Amino acid sequence: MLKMAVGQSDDVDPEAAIDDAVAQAKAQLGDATPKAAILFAAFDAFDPSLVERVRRAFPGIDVIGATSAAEMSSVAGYLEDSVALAVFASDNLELAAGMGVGIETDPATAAHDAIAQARARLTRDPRLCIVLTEGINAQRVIKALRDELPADVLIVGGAAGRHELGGNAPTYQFCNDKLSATGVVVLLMAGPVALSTAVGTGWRILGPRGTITAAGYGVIKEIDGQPAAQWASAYLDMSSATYGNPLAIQDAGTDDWYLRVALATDGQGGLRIPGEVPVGASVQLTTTSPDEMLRASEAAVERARAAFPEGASPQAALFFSCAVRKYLLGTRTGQELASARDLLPQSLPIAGMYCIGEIAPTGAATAGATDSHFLNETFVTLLMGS
Amino acid sequence: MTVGDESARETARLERRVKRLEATLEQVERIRDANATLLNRVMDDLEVERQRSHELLLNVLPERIVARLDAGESHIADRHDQVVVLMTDLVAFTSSAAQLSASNLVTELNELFTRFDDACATRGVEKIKTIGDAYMAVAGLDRSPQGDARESVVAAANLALDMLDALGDARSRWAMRIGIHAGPVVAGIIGTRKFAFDVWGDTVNVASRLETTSLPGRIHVSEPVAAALEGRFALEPRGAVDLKGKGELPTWFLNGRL
Repeated sequence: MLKMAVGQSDDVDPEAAIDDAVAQAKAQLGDATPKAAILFAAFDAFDPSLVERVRRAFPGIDVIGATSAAEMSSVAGYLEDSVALAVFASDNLELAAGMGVGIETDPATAAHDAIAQARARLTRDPRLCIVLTEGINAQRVIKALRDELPADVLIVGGAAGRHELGGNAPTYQFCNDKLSATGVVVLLMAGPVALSTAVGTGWRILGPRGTITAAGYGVIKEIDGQPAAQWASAYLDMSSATYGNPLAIQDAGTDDWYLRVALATDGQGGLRIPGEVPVGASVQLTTTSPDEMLRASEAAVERARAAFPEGASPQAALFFSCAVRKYLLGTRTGQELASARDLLPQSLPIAGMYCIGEIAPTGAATAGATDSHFLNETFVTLLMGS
Repeated sequence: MTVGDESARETARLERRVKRLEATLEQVERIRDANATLLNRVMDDLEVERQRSHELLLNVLPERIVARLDAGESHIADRHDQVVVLMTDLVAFTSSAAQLSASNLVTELNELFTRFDDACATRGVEKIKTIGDAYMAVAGLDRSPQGDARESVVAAANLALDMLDALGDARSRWAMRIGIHAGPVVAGIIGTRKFAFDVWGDTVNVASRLETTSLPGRIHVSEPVAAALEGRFALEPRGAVDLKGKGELPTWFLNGRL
């Protein structure tokens, strides 16, 4: 049995907010013994002392988390400038956390360190890896985590966020007493856990279709043999990032599309992107509307629910949604969570964050999936039970 | 916590909320403007493509038929009581074609048929199709019910004479037979892919028989056609000719304008 207790508060005093959240979670836990916690903390509200307060409130548990662009939970809904806390207890599941740092220079070692720390305290192979990391290097981290974990482990999570979309301000990841702006934190779950996940975007593909003919990490150099910035500039104003019109990418030989924001031109005719896309992939333009985005997130929840293993029922949900969706949905952002709650059991505890990059398989999948991708502008649903 | 403390916290919370909303609004405006730019540019592309498709369609279908397809009609078949069908064929084309390279053959045929297309446009006659070296055109399909059917016959006669002139001007290696008949047809679109505008009916069959029983360099016309041209064109009675499936019918050669 998995129990997730949730607390959330947007008190202007961050310490009062975390104390509120802790109190709410404790009340829900009852006699259950917590094993681990995830803290989503608004970037402006975050201070390492918040993590310490959670650890003091639940002695001996692992606390991982990240800064976020906004937070959501089943207790307070969608909020900006809040802290959302999810505390996990289980009588038959094992949970353990780990952290690696320096992903911008050595993602393999960072992923190895994080997984090794967590696995050292597990007696069984993990089934789920919840990951929080940093957006620019997230794709390298996913690949490195994949190399460290058994093939059937589901990897789901997000990249730490902040309120501003652009710029070079850091985001933070933390695990217990460790904090980094270029780290990877993982929470591994082992034992008889039932899982499903699904993603939704809501962007519509339109305009000409090109083929990526030259690319590197963090950059699309050429599309159809011409400088990528030239291709994009025929349709997009490349003086700023294309948050509202990300590029749709389809890897050669696959049916699934995923999104990549063109952050800017690189000064050499290329387009800077978070992560990488392979040469040979197809690229197209996109547009969307709030209604389409909300329909897509609803559909993701429905697909995750439909894919949940027969005979089990979800006992907790984590949502990772993109900070850009928050801006595009504006005052309707809370509907992502509200609609999801309407589709799930009313008593189901939910926690989540708005991030700068999401991590999940692109199709509906259970814990057999091995195709977790680094995603942009996507709503990710993770349902858990045992 | 005092009431004053609580009030100050609420004020701070609201100020923070306003700050977030302002930032959201600014970002949303930027995204909205970028989206509008993209959609405008894609719409411009679509308009260019739409125009190109329309022009391509006009190359293979009459304008009024394109308009009806654009309006949503999918099955188009109309009866026309009095149209004029003109059929041509190049004499001994197959045997002479064997002596030409494919490239030269297509080039010569293309030059000739382009002249015929121009003549159709000049005379207001509708080209229907070419089948190998055969060329088929129809006059009167777009005539209003009040229009003079004889004018359609005159247009077809002028086209036939223009075609012979074009053949001479081009110093073509081929001679041509022409047949013209007037009567009812059904015209419409068949198929949903690679569809074509075509005409069907006994009038088409008779025009074809007139062409096959014509002579090289001659325009062979039926009685209704000759009657309509009387007094304006030089006609030469040919006598009764056995037209396959129709029996013996009086026919004329059209020799020129008066």
